[in-house]
Amino acid sequence: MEAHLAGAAWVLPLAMALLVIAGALVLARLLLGPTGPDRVVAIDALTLLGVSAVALGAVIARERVFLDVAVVLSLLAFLGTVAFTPLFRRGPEDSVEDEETV
Amino acid sequence: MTMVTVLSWTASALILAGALFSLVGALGVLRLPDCYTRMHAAGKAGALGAALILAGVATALRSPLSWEALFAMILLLATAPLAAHLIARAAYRAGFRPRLGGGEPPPSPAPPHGPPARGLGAAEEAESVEEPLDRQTPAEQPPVGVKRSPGEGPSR
Repeated sequence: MEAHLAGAAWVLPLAMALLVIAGALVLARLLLGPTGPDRVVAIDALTLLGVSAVALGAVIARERVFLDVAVVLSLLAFLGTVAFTPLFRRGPEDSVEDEETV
Repeated sequence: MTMVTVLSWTASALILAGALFSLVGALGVLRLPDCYTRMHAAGKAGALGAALILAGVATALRSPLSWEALFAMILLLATAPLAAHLIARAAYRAGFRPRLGGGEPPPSPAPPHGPPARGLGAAEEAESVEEPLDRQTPAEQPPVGVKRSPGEGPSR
């Protein structure tokens, strides 16, 4: 297979460098984010950046298999976020109250 | 200029625009003041950046058309708003109050039972935020959150 990409010699490293910088910024928020939702948001953003990086890797390595990894990773981004949300509950009494208001 | 050249430049432009949007979204996640605005940056700019990069990859790898990249893009655009909504809903239910305009954040509702909500203290918020975005509010305007009574629970 071949990739039809104009200026691939500088576009792909530049895009990957931008993604690495973005990942470093989100990782800083993940490490110092004061509350739980901040960290979950950072994990979500980091997984989205991972999807982008894997898709770019498919173009760089000329490997179409990486796109399957991107599909699975974008599914995992959603499922991971959903799995984190019950952890924000304050206590058992509030969770009972929350069940009524769902 | 042939069609192949136009599509090649389109792929490069999409990939670069997606990387730029991802960087702006990451900057918003790092800089914005509370978890709702950070969720807004990650859920809109970050998802748009990833979708643009996937569209660029699908444009670049078209010699057989890469359905995987298009499928991942559709999946991402369908699930990123759901994830952001779930985070915001769960955080609001758990007692994290959004930061309103006009100085001090509104008083957190004191729960009648159980420990106070985590991460709600004004001191912790003031320590964590380097540069509040709402400093330029005029003094004669009352803060928005003043009318909120302390015992008010999460609204439906």
